[in-house]
Amino acid sequence: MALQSSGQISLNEIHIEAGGSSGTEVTINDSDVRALISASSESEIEIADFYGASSSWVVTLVSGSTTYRGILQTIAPTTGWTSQSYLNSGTITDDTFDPIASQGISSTSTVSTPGIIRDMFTNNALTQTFFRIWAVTEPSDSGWSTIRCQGTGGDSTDNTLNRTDGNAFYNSSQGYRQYRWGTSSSPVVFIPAFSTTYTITAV
Amino acid sequence: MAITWKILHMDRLATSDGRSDVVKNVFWYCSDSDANGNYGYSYGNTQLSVSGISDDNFTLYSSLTEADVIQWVKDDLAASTAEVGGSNDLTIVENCVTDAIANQQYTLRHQGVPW
Repeated sequence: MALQSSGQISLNEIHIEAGGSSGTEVTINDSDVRALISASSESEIEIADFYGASSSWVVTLVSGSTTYRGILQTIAPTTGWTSQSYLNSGTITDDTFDPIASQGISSTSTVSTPGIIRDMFTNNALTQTFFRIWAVTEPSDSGWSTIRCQGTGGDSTDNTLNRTDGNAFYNSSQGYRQYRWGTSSSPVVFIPAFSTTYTITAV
Repeated sequence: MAITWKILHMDRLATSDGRSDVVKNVFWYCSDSDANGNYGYSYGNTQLSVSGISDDNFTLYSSLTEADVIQWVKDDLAASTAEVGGSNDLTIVENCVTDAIANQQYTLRHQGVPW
């Protein structure tokens, strides 16, 4: 849940939003706190900078028009993640993946965003859902535990996948982590339709 | 050399469909290296289907071997294909290991703990 957009915010509330435990020691310069607003270790920040900040990753996704109900990367990103290109006409409002921002990315990294979405789709042929994240360092599972797909307008779609229910592996050669849910005998239709607008939240 | 698969550990259900100690989640690691010390690796977890298992296809936990479980993992990965016309996950994982060695991305690593 995002922090309030006005009024008084306590450092404790910010710490909880960043994933910390209530009442435990925290400073505004802690890396997890600064990561909430993507602030570098050198930049000056104040409490007001945290208005509306959220540890959740929320994007609008328009699913592809054929084969893949979601988005599928076709071109490997270059330094700076500048070459994202998605197959089958899917689009996404923000392919940076914020929940892994607190994973100790070097401040000297030339890549400003530690992770981006490589693919997120339900395979129409196999009824398996894939979620792949490129990262500048070897990503752990921390930062998120569920991913949710909600329909927009009159679409009542509301599907949630638990990270711990998925199959995962790290591709050390290409630098991405893949999560997969569902099998042919146990389908998990996360993104149910083509050419449809969904709100995707990871938290 | 050849890619080596290892099972790091397994989560198992205490009971499921009247059976005890049913393996559910398998954590695996695979790696290889060349004579020059270049190294490649991948690791992950595989959730096994635990419903509808016939008696003929069920192996008692106490009788399982690492080879049995590695084969389950490989079978699951082989049944997964993200991209139409692309490779299945087993091929992707094994190619990841060999590509990392060919590209000299990592130096030799060992796994384990000192205690």
